[in-house]
Amino acid sequence: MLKSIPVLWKLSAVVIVIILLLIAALGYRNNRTDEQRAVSLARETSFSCARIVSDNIVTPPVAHDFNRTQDLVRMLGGSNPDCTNMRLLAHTSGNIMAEAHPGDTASLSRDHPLCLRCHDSEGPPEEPAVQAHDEILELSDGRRLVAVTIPILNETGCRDADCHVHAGDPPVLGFLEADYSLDRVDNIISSRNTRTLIGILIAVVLSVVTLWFLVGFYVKRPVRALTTGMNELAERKFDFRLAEDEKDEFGSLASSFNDMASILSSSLRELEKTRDYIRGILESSADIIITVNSSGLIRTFNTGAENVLGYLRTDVIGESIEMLFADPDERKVAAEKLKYSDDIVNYATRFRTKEGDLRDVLLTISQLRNPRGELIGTIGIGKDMTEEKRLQNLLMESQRFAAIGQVFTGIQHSMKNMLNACKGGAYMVDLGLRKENQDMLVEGWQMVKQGISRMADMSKDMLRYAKDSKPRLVRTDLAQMLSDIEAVIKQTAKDKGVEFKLDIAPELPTLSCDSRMIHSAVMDIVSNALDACLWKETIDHEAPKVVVSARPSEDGKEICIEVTDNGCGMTKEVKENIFTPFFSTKSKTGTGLGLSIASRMIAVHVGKIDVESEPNRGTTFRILLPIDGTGGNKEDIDAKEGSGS
Amino acid sequence: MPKKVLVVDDDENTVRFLSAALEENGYEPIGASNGQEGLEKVHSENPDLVLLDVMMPKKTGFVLFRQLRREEQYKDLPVIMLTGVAEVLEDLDAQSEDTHERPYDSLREALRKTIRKMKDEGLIKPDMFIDKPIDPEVVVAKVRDLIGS
Repeated sequence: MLKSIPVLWKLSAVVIVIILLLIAALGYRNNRTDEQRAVSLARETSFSCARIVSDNIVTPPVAHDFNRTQDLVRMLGGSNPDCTNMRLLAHTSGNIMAEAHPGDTASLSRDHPLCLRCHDSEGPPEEPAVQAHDEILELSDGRRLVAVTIPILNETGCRDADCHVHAGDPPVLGFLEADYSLDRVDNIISSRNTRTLIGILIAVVLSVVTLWFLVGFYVKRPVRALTTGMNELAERKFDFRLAEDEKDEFGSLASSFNDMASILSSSLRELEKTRDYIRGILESSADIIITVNSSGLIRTFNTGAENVLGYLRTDVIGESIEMLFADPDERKVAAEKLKYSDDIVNYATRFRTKEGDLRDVLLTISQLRNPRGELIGTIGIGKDMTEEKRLQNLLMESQRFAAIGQVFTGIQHSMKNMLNACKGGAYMVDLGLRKENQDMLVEGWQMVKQGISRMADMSKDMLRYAKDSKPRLVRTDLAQMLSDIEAVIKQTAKDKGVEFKLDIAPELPTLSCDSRMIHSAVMDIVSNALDACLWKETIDHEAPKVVVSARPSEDGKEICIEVTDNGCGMTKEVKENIFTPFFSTKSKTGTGLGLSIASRMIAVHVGKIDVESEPNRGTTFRILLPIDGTGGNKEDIDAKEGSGS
Repeated sequence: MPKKVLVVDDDENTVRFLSAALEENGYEPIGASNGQEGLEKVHSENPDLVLLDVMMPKKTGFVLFRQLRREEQYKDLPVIMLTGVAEVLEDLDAQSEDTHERPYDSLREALRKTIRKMKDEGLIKPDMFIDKPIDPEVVVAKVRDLIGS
């Protein structure tokens, strides 16, 4: 219950209690002091009166004069307004000798309270009652008075007096008993108490008002502001800030609150940014992104998926993922695979759209785990490959057409020159016949035959190129083969004014190859080199020259055959195309297939051919052939053979 | 005095049958087997017309043609190119800076461009070309058109 009382009230109660205690303590102390002062004044006055009385008893003119003593007491008692009564009592008889305010003049009995102050009821005290005595008495009407009793001793003056009345005992002759009213003191105390009460009231009111004001202004207001701030934060208004005018604890509290709010706001903004970013990735991706829970039901379905598959997310969320697969078994296959691996990358599958069309999709599926590593489902990211596949097919088709077109152009180019010989030859034959010129007829017929034979060559070359011939590997003495080529070519070279040189490393290992193929390949390249020498445009002082060299490679696993000429060389563009069928620069003599066939023959031996060339400087063809014939890739050759048949 | 016709081709058959055809029609044929020899023969024989093959060793027909056109004396010497227009254009293109695009794919575009260029330069007229396989009678008719008999 105490907990529900506002703080301000509790504080006020504490303040009130403290003020009350303080003022009460102060009042009590003042009252006590006043009372004591009154008692001690009464005692002092009584002592003075007793002294005066006892002195006067033994001193003339009062001595022994009863009336005078009576007057003295009356005078002493009456002169003090506080003194309510003053009596002179004889000790042993209890007779009242004199009295300031006449009243009861009889003697006191032994059990009179006054006597009992010193005596018990039985008899005299053991010690002579020579001590003065005082006490505060409360009368039946509630008033109080201080009663002081002072013994008048049988002093030397009495014992030695002429009357000898009191020679010897008793030591105490009588008592002066005086009653002083405490009315004045009580009045003072009472009025003080009233004042104190009023003071307390004023103090309490002032304190409470001050307290309420101070607490209200310096505590309640900032606390309320803080509460508002907290509520604002709770309502996610993170831009809310408290005023930091105060320099006290609340000021630093507000400053801490603001710091906290800005940290909270920036972390939240960061969090939102990250969330939006991730959502943006998911949403703006043109790819299909779908998450599925562990029971195989669709949980999220992004815009990319909507666009590709035609479903709205509301259509599919909660449905089984299998509905999207063209063949639902494929989903089962994927799920089976996921048991052994966390991801399946580039799983080519087909999805069915809402309209029932099929879509080729390249799917990557990954297991989804929560931060504790527990499996919560899968995420699938799919790329719609339908258009790509279509384009790929189109591209392949157009490439095929382009290739065919190129081949046709090449064939036409080669045939043109062959037909030229035929046409020219036929003209000569006609002319020879018409003019009956035998020589012209023969010459023309030769031209026609040349044309025909070159067409036959081309036909054969085309067949060679088209046929994926299987190399018949035999141990071949390469040095011998190159010498044979030299024998064939040397005369032709000489006729054309080209020097031909053979440079064979000593003890060249035998080569496992199809000697017919390699012979024809090297022959083609050498013929090319000779032509290149003839085609050199600027005549310098360098004699045209073709060098054929052969040596084992550094690791001894291959043999390197190089054909070098110092002929016309090639531009970069020509160099890039020399192995392309029907790419010929020698439009009149070649078939456009020589180098293509050569490179193919070397390829079926798992060899390599490359070329270095510089226009007008010359060209080097470099052939690398594995000594064991396969380069350790027998399967490759077999595969080629298999596919070629 | 018969008019002189220079036949420049590295293919000796072509030189032979064209020479026979020209001779038959009353011209004096002169043969040359490459561009370099062709240039020398132009200087030494001073022919009335040149039949010029393009793809030749030592000096292509095109190079020879340009050389002749640069010489004041031969600037108007009639020349018949023994090739298709396409080949010449290809050759021209190969020599131009714009070689990154092969004329196979954009042949038509290249043709248009080059013909315009040739017209601008006043170098080549399309009727200067006779493609192979050559019909000797067509050649002779063309020669007659250009220089008479």
